[in-house]
Amino acid sequence: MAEEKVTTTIIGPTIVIKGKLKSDEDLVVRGRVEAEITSTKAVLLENSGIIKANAQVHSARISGAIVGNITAEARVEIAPDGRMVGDLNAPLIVINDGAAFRGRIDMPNFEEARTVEPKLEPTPESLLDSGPPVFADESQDGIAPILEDAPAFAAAAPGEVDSAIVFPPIAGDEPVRPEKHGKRKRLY
Amino acid sequence: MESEKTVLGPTLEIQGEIEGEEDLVIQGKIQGKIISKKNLTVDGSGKVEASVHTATLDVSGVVIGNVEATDKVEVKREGKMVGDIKAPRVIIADGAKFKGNIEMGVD
Repeated sequence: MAEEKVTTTIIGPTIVIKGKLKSDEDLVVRGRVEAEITSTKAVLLENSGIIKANAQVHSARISGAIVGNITAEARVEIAPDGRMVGDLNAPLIVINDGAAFRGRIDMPNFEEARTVEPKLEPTPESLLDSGPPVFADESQDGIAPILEDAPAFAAAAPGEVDSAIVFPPIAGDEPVRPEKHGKRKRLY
Repeated sequence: MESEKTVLGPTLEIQGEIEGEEDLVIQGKIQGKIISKKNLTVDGSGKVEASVHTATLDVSGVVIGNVEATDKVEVKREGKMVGDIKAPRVIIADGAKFKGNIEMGVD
């Protein structure tokens, strides 16, 4: 991916860079960088890549190994196969399951972050419990359940679930199925 | 991954040392030292102020510094080079700018 318009620099697996590195484009590191990195864009450290230096970046994703501190304007993510020893400073930090990390984390917007309302999303558990919404009466007359049923669905306590009817995770969030056709007319 | 080749993009600035065993294309600015076992290309936008050890060197941009190549050095038409070259084959194209010594190791 590198003929005319290069917006990404890829540092190949056999490359070793020592010293100082400045970049205004995305940087993919597959080799070894022992150079202080200053980048206004993203740095992607791939699995074969090694960085042994401090980095000041816009954002970073670590799948390889880094020894050094990262300061990011936006976001740092350590992938499941990433390893890092060093301090992290970024407003948004993701450490994935499986990643290895040792160091300190500082989120500069710590106070603001606390005020952000958590998104109301179904938790994995509730999804596991209930599964996809099942409409028991669908098979009978071929029409979707009407909306008036919804409150009744939601009102029932989670403990006393009738096995035939499974609850959608959040009240008021049930998929509203458009009524494709009216009530079936009897032809005979 | 395509054939192994590293392109250091036009906004990249490196101060220090680069070592590699794959083709290297330089479109940015390098200061320091470059050691390559393969082909090194300095593109039109590239500017190298470094001592260079490589197999082959193609200069379309600017190179300031001494170059030692095990195969050949070619300064292209739009290339500019200041420094000494030591290589068995040296090509300087019509229109290229060059200042320095050349040693081809004639036996």
